[in-house]
Amino acid sequence: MNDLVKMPPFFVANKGERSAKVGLILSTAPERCVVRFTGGCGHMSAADASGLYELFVEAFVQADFKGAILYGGTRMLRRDNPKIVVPGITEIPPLIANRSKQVVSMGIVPRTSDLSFNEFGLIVSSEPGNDFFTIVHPLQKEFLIVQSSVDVPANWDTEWQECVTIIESLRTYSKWQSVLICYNGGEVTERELLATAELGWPVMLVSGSGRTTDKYAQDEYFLAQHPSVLVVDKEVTAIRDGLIKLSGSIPRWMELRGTSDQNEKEKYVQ
Amino acid sequence: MNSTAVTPMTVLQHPYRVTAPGGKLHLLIMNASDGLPAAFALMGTNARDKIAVRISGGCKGMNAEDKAEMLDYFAHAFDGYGGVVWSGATRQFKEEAVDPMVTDVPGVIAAFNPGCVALGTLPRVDLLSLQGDSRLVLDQYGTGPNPSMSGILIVQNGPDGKLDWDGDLNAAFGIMENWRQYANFQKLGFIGWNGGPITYNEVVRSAKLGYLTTVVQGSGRAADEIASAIQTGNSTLGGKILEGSINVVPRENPQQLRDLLIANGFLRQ
Repeated sequence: MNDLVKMPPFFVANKGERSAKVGLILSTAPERCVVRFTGGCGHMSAADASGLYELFVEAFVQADFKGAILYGGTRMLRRDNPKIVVPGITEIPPLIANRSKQVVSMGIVPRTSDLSFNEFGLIVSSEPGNDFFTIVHPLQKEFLIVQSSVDVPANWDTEWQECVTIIESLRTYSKWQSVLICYNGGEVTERELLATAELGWPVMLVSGSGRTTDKYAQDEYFLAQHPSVLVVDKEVTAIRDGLIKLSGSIPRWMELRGTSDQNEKEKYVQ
Repeated sequence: MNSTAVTPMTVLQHPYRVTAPGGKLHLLIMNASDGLPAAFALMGTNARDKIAVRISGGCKGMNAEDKAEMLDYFAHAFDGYGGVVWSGATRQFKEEAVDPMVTDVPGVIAAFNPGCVALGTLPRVDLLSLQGDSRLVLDQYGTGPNPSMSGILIVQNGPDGKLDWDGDLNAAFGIMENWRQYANFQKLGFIGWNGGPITYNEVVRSAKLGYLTTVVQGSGRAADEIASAIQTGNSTLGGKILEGSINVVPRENPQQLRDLLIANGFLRQ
């Protein structure tokens, strides 16, 4: 029975439903900023995935981030050897939460097929043609699984659409800031990026991360039309500074530097 | 109180003006069978402290002076409060002025205490109508929504059904439980002032849930009956069982309520 108590709770919602519980859980983060991670998963190249985890974990730790994180909440395992984890953006939030204990993370999992269990966990996707299958992330504590209905599965866009809904509630009714971080990614990432930029919410594009993110990071017309979009280099201090600037949250170490660094603070937070 | 120039009654001098922070009151409407609205639950998280107190009751038998004293009573007891304070969400009027009720108490407390958030719930007991200069009216007696609150949750029985005056209580208690279970609200409280059968049921229900439950003796009706039953050692009242711990404080001395709130972590010394 004790093992059952330790199992991570998860909530199930039909598309379009708004959950009070999810918003309230996120609200327990000490800082009113929610970061949404989107981007490369199964189709990211090995080169684009190289150093990915250290890059973000170190940037978030240096930024002293104490807000909430929304992400896909899944892990990909190799079909030929399920003990091998396929690198992806969804590996980052559990690592950040592990280093920064006050961070509150929530996995938003679209139910794209019937759920099933095997010895590796709860399988949310096992598409023919992919050399990996996807399970709910074993290190994630809380999930929201979103479906269209019992009989009708959701698609992968449901994840970001649900996140937009949650973030909109936090921004409108609880005075939160939000940051969408894009790294690599394909068509679904592109639709999320464009929808978020269109709303005028802060977006951070990591230049050099590949595919969709690079396409828009290099699109001067797009950037000129969307001033809430910030392009940062693929390195720790750039991501850290971008996070500080977009979240509007000054880390403690910067506060401790004293009044002489007021100009530096203003450089970060606008 | 933070200001010597402003009194609780002066907070209510403009009966129809929205005095909620930012000059905006959000109205949310839900069906009684719906899940609790995220937007409304999140409004509570804007409070400085993760605590919530619901105040319930009525003002039957109270004259204008009694009502003004009631506002003073709560303003004193809650001085420095930074949590959510909420109640029913109606406002009564008499000759184009506010006729103060318990439902005006949250707005008064919030007006004196930065960081405090005033919210309210109400059941839709009749069709909503616009009257006069487009004033929103809730029933045939001219009752309006209370514009001193940041948010009001209106609970209805479908678009054309009606609810009784206790039709919002499941939602209200549900939100309290959500705050406690999912948003780390550390303290929940309930105060009964005067009131009738609905207040009586709320007192019993909140005590059973383990909230800091208090009735103000001398405020009248249900609160007095419960206070008397407790003081005479009766565990039942009107055939209903009084469960859990219920505190009794006197109307004459708001400091006792204040001390109780301090002792239980709702207020800082």
